[in-house]
Amino acid sequence: MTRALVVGIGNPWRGDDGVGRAVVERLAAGGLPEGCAAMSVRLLTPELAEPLARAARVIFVDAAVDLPPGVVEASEVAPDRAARPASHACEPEALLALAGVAYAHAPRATLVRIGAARFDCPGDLSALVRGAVDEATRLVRRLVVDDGRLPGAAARAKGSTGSESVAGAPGGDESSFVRQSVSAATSRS
Amino acid sequence: MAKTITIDPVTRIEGHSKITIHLDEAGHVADARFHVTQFRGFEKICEGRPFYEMPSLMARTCGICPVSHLVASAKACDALLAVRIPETAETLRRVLNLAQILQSHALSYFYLSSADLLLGMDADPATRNLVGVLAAEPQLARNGIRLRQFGQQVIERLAGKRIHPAWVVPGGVSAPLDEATRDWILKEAPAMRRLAEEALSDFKRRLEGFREEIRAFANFPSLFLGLVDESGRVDYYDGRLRFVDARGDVVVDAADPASYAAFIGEAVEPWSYLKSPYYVPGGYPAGVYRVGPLARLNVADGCGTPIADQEWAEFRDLERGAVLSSFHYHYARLIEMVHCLERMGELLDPPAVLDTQVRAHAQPNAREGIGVAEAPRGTLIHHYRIDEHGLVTWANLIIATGHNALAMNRGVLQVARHFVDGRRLAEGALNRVEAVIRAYDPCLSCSTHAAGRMALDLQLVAADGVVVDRQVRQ
Repeated sequence: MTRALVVGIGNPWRGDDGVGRAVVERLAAGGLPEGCAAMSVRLLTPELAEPLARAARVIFVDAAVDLPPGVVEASEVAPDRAARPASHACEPEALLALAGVAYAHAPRATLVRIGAARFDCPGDLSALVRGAVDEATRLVRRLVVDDGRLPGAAARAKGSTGSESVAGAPGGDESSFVRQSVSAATSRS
Repeated sequence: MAKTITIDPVTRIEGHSKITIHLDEAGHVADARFHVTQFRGFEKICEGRPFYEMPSLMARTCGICPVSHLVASAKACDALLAVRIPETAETLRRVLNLAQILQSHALSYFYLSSADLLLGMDADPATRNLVGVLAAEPQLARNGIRLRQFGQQVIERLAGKRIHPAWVVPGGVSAPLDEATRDWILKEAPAMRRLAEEALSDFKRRLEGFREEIRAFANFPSLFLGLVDESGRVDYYDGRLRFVDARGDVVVDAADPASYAAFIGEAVEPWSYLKSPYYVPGGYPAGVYRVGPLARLNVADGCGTPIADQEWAEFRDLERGAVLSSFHYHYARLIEMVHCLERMGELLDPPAVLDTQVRAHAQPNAREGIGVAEAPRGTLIHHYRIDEHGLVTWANLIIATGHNALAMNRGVLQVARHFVDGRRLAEGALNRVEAVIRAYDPCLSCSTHAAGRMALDLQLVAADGVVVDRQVRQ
């Protein structure tokens, strides 16, 4: 079984929508930890349930429209059988449910989201989002290496949205595993 | 009091559409229409573009069957170059097209229609989806996922990516096949074929339970159109046009695809963006014909591979003439999946498939080019004209789903008359009206899909605008 699978989601020709793929490329360029795999897709589709089910842990990386540009946030995702998988556009919750039903294993999953500024076609990453790629990559790598541990709770600062910031977090608290409904966000200035 | 029932949008199809059912004063179904409510305009968008951009541009018509548009467009461009492409390039295009048909058929059968077929037309809408099928028939559903995955993997390995690959170019393909990819496909294809055979056997076992649907699902006499090779067998990539009638008699044979306009007229209705092609000698709207898996198996004298030929013979035994019920599109689709996997193995086996001469180079040598191939949903026609600089001045596309527009309308009317009670809306009846459309597997330019869940809101509206009954499905 794959120890961790990183899935970058997005269209590289649609500006910041391609940030998930950019993070996967950066991650791969730095060398993937042993037993880990990474892939990029434009959309989540039902067929991905099969590779998901072969992973102990999955980290989805995607652009977000409801976060300020460049802000990085991570939250745990749980399977949701009420979320219907569509033929060519699934939410992570639906895909995890599909993996659980079809292959009897829904991996523990985290969604790393990066706030996007623009979705031009064709378009490159905006400066703010490009600047967030390194930080998102570090967060993903840490999730992969530490099996879900996020930077220390002691260093986290409560954000205005209720998210917990890990910007510049020195790490530390070993009890700070990602938990469902608890998210960590990285604010960029 | 005259009433109209509107199903908007139709669910579990590729694209956006609605159905209206018109009731007379007595509450009986008087008419029904399948409206395609999205507009693309690709024929206009491409005007002024260099012809060599057309394959990549046209592939954007669709996110499910981009390979089909890529192939038909490249064939039209081959005609503009007036070249004969290398034999290996043709073989590789054929394999890619088979993979496209396989993955699309798997999507249609397992993801979109199997919930109706395996769980029942009257099953709870909350579970009538892929997850429900997985819960009820896990192995079958897993096989479906694997088959679609395999088709996509073949496309990715051959053409570089699963969606909108650019490997097929005017004059051939842009790169030869590598040995590792060839070996991988040859190793996997037999196992995939067995999965398709299992699904086909399972479907045949269930057929008896769908007698009423078989009788009422667009079961009417019409013509059928498809490409056949020189021996009259199914040909997905090339060949000649053949029309057969409801008795199975050939009415047009060995017609040059470039002469399509002699047989196919194009009408437009004010209530749909989908044009309504018709068989010219039959006139409009009487000249109804059907394309796609059902039509291909009706027009052909066989498939040309051992297992598919046996299945084809059994299929054609369903009726004395052509198989008329559109419910049997599903059956034909499963046979074609088996056929595609058999044929893939045959095409990739000879060592010549690794030949590195895979592209002919030329400047345009003709001002007009027509490319025709079989897409998953039927015969696909691309027709371009260019100026002296190679810029596109005019384009005409007849998409497989368009050929079936008249037949889908008649199918909706037939099912509505059989199952819909004008005084009360039953969810199962509503689902059957949608299911007849799903049988055709229409692809309404799915690359414009809106994000999110497609809801269904069916209203029974009186002539004075009062909503008499309503069913909403989220």
